[in-house]
Amino acid sequence: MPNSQPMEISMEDHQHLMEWWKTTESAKIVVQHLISLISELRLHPESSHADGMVLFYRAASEISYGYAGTRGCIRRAFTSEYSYTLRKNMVMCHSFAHKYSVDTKVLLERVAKQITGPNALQLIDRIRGELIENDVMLNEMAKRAQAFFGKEPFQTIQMEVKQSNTLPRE
Amino acid sequence: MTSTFTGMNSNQRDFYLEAIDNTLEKGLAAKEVVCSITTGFRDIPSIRTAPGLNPYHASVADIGYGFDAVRGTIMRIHQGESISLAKDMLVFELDTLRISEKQLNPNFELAVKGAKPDTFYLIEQSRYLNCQIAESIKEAIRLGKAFLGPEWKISHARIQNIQAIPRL
Repeated sequence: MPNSQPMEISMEDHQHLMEWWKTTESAKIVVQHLISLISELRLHPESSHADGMVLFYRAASEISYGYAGTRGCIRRAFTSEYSYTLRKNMVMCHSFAHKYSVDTKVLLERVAKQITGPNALQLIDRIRGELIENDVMLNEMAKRAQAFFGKEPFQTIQMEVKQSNTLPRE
Repeated sequence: MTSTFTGMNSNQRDFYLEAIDNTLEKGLAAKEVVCSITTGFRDIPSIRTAPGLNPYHASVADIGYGFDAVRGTIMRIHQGESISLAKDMLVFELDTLRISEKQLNPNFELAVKGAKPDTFYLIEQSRYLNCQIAESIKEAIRLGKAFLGPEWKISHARIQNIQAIPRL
């Protein structure tokens, strides 16, 4: 692949990458907490029957996947694998976590509509709280990503990622 | 509802939970790199729409979810939370990891069947990392069974109804 030519990382970018990595460490804890609560909701007798549950947890699994992928990309960027292709891969993973966080929030409210039991309602509230935390983390990570790529290159890659998942106009 | 882990002293509980957590921690880097590579497959013309890629992606995401679920539950217990469904949650997530692990290779091989040589290094790396993931899952399940003893089967029977819900 022509775009997989190895690229150098400057000392400064190396530092930015480390900062990004550290943010993912905090994000990881939030996601683990979130997913555990979702597991509890899926098994809880007051909520396991709720419509939308499968879509809801699948969306959440894509948040987990997006975060893990971002961390995997950062790990790879510290090796000789760093290239334009990997830069795009990093942005793809990040936007995945972002996109499915939106889906997860929408679906949570759909699931919540069918739940009346007090214990499950309490779980729903805790999940809402974790999703707010998750949004804070996503913002932090986006800032770190932007510091690493530079504002314009970050936007250019984001646009490219978007285009590769959209039908051309006309 | 039973309390979190009845009939078990807290040393024994902490020993096993920590062992399960450490085992999954060991598979963490492999899981993360596999998620990264799988996303990259969406950008490779010879793979991005290949049969098998969607179920492979779903299995990879399910594994990521399972790791986070188990570790998140262990974290909550360590923080002193009493979770009445804790045993069922652990058994459910470990059992789901077992299922996803079995689906991983067949779907992966299907997805990369038509891949071009310039992607072979990513394919080799994925195969190697998937083996590492499988090992940490098997070890975590072994520990989970040793931890819960006969109660593993009881929880396992209980979670079957949830496990049988069709996935997407």
